Amino acid sequence: MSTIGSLTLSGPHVSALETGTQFAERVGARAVSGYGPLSVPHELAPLFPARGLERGFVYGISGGASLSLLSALASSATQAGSWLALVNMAHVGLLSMHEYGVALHRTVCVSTPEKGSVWAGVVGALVDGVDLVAVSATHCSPAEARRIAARVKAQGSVLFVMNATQVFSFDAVLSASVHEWEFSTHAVQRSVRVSAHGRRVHGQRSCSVLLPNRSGAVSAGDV
Amino acid sequence: MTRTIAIVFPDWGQHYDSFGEEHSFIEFERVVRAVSAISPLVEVEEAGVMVLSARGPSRYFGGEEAVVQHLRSICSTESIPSGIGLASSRFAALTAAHLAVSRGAPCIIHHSVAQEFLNGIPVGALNRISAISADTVGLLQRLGLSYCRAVRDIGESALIDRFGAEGRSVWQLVNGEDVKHFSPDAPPSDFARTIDFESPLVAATQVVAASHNAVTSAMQTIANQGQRCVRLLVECETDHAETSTRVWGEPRGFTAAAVLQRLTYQLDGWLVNEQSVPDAPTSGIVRLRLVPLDCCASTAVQPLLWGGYEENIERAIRAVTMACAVDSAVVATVPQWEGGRDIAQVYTHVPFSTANIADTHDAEQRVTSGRGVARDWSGATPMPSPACVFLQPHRAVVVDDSEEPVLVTGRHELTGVPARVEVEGYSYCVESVAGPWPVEERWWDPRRRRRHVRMQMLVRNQRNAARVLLLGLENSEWTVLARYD
Repeated sequence: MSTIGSLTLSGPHVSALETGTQFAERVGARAVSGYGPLSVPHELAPLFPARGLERGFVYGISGGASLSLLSALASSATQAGSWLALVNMAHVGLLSMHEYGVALHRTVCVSTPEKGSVWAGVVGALVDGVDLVAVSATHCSPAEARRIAARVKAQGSVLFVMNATQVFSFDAVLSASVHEWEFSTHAVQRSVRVSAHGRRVHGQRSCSVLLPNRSGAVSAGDV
Repeated sequence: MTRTIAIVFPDWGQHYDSFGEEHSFIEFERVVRAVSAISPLVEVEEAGVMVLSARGPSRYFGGEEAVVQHLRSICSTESIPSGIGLASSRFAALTAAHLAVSRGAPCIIHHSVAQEFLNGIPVGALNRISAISADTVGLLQRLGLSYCRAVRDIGESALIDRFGAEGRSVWQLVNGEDVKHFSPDAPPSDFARTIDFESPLVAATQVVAASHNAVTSAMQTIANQGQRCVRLLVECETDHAETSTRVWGEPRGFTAAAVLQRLTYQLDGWLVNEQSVPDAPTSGIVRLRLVPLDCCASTAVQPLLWGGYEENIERAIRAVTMACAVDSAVVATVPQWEGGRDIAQVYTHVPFSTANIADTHDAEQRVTSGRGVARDWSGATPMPSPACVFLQPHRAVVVDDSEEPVLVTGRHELTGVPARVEVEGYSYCVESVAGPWPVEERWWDPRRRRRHVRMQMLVRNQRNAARVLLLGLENSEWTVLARYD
């Protein structure tokens, strides 16, 4: 038990004020137990209040570097044992996903007709058992979108919607705008500004990263 | 020893693979149904291979030659080569069928020479034709046992001593004791399961969705006994007592997903309401029966004590299976490393149902090394790779300042300085270019040779946003292959 001003806190981890490392350990332990947020590369962690992808959230991804951002976000979680389903995203460069560190042996690509009821049924079935589901576009009514969002919440999975459309009400929208390419003998690296906003994000959160860097992965950048 | 007929289409997979594995199975269903007109129990292990008992049909047709001739007339309607073998065990029959393909005539191994035939089969066939692992076969070969006779000579106890359960199956194979055909009066298996539906189901997808839970629990019961089912009898019955019976084989053991996939193949061709198909059912499916015919001890995958990865795998498999049952047009695939310089073909897609998902080691092998292809390719575009790869590349026009088209010479030099790229009505200003990276494929073969170059271009659109495109030039025509998204 400890007292900070007039506040009295209790619990195993607040015997004294928590340091950054202790906080990271606690969040990590929650993630390992399977109920906490899914981990993301630490360069992108400032975007998320919980330092990771919150289970049960619907994230919208937009901007000029949206596919790279999706790969970077999915990399740590798939390495830690979560599965990733890509719905109607046959255009994703799997080699680039591999370079970002996505565990391709836990990735499944699903192609489905873009007919409202079928599409919603497939996405609904996938969020039941796959931790990360990414869809390229939405082909359903707002009512079906609400039903899918409720299933995401109940199952504790994460749904990414590319090119954020209005059908879903997003818990957070992440937008990656291209700042500059470094281009010499080939396209070497790119600095990108990623910002998060939405009803579950407190204030403006943003960070600058190299997406991709020289080896195709994500690393901290300075803009 | 039971007389067995095997029919093999060695090129079936290759021939029909362009539309995926589902397509090749559904095409094969046509042949299977023609053959099942003479024998109700036909076993299908993969597309292009079927096995049936010779006893009933040969008595009906009056001799083994007659039944083989009849089957030959069925198979010759297909355009691709086939082989029919008849021998005293499943392994011998399959080997004889492969022999028949190269001979161009059916191969019947008489009962009196059955053991001599087995003795002369090279050990490598144990791996290629039957499901003995390559490691075991490799070891046998290194021991100098290159023919089945030599393996047989070392004796059953020595084989089991050294190779365990696999040694026992090797012994059964070389002695021709490997398969017992299902007979209609056999006692019911402990694991047999009958699933009744309340109302007749008229579509394969409905049957799959309705039987999902029961199939999962049936396979779980087998798995709980430390066993895996390698041959499974699937029997569907309609309200009007029409039945479709099929034996399915899967040497790696059936998972619930694999059973449901096979059920789809079996029903898709049968449940058509067409007058042209003579054996089409007149009602929906009301009963499904699953009888495991062969089980063997499972040593491959054990779930971890506290769930973890394995639990995630099972959840994912269940979810993807359910997603595929929503509509027959839903296709689930997993990536497989293929290698190459073509950015769109570095990974191919293999069907989810046939990939070995449950074995993590196997799955990692699939995406890292594939079929042993090297990881790094000279002539590939440099890292980082594009995040968006177009399946159907868009046509593009590249021009210089004076609106003259820019090309690449035979010495890989640009004929001008690219100033503008036009793709699908959009116009981009070119800021810098990199490359070209030339690729010359199969230059020795005038019909299949291919020359093309790839280039990266940093472009800006009207709103001054920077993008990098990967363009390809082939036959004086530019295409946008990928975008660094």
